[in-house]
Amino acid sequence: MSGIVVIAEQRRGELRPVSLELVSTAQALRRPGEEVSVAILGKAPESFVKALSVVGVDEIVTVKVASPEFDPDTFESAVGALIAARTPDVILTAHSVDSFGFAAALATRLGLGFATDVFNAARIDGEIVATRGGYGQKVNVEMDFPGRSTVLLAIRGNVFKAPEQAPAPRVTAFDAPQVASRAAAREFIELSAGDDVDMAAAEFILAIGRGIGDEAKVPQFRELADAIGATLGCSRPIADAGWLPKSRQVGQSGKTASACKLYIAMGVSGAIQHLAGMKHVSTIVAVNSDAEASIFGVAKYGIVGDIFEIADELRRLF
Amino acid sequence: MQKILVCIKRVVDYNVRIRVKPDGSGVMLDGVKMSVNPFDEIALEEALRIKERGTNIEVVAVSIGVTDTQQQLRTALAMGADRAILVQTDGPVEPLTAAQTFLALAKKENPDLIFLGKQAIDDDANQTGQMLAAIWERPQATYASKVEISGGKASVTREVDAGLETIEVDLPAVVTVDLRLNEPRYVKLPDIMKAKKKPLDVTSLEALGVSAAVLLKTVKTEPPAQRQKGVMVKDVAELVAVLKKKGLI
Repeated sequence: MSGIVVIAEQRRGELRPVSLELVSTAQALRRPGEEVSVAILGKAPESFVKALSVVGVDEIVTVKVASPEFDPDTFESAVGALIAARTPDVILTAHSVDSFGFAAALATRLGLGFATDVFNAARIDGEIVATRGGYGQKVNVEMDFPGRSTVLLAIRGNVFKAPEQAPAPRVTAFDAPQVASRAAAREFIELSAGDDVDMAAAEFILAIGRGIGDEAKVPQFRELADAIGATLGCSRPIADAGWLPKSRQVGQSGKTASACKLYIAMGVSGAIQHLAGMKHVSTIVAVNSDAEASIFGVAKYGIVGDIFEIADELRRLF
Repeated sequence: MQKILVCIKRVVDYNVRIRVKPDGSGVMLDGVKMSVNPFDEIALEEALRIKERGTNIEVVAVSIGVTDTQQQLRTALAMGADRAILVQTDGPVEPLTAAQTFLALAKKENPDLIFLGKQAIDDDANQTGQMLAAIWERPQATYASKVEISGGKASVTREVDAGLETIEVDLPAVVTVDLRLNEPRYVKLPDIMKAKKKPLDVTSLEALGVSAAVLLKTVKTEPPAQRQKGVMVKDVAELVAVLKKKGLI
């Protein structure tokens, strides 16, 4: 058993950022000389080669599958065949809805060590030790996998930083057996993607949350962001309500503020999912009328007060 | 559609503040309020709604755990399940053991549908439903936010990361449910009284031919590191001054 296989994740032609973060996890686990292969499954897997060419990848494995949408049966069969052919000692997937669709089944069938929501992993005396969350991330559990020669870890997003881009490594096409899916895809409603703002690259973000209360208030925060030179972002309720496009949502199912130095959160309560997108921010400022809001737990500076009055003052004093 | 199995887990109530044991061997459970896993409650509610729309559908609540898990199954019966089965065990139950146990029950009961929560709020593993589907060799539809049953098929809308996906699977199938599927009913006192008379069978892993696998070893449990406490500033002027001083603006 040798080699680390990373299963990259894409939906509808868009590579999910966690795919590259998995490459960083692989670096933490690789033994000297051990190869890291990144497998990408899809209808046109070659189209992801450029995006997946990052430091630390020795090989990109393209696996063509017939199904246009993610399908657990198709993925289970294809990834299973890849594992059988490569006999890796570590397999990494995202801790995500799609990965769970095939990872649990594979772990069960192949007798793999298996843990989900892993946010730290190390090799100690040659054995994999994984740290995962429990009780809604209120408890950390360190675990190992006695007697398992291969371990599959589902890695939490936004924990590891994506590596830098690099020239394309070796690209191999892998022929996976095609299976008939037992689920018929009927419909897919994409959350509106919106404008082409790059939240990941923004260094100064002004984010708004449910606390603004009313769609009519959005323009005033947009103006404030423009006036102080910040990129306007939001938490999930704002994007779900359609007040701002999905592209501006920071958090687990949105974007990661990975280059952000200053993040001003206004009326954002600070749900775990939103905080996940702010992990790399160096200075967080929280503005909220509720002194008990969990956002204050992560903020370097906080002000309790009326967010609209504070917004006006910010504009005046900045 | 004749029978729906709903898998229930006994977990620490979601309002309880979780404390880690001083020796790091796990979480303190003594004297702590235990409840039905909230996602399983949503799963049961959905099964009951399907039952109420149809005719002659039996809803069976099943669980694995210590003797006191009967309390959670009584809650399920009070909500409206027709009968319950407890697979009693004192040891830890890993996701695979749970899946194997539910498989054994599925083979006995032959349900058309097995409902589970997408995850339990204690271990947050999110594995049991998918493992069960794999070993039962039946289709899965996870993270359901809408379920429609007709003509031997389930049409399930799923909350996936990029949006909402609707798929159709043949029954029998495993469906795991997400938060927004429904709002579970409140249990009324007469229902609690009635539930006391409903059948609750107790069996064991051995009787079902399941051996509790130990594939995972918990090395240590600990609370997450506390973030350094921030500073509260009194007004915007002070905030702007401190940000300027730090060279952030």
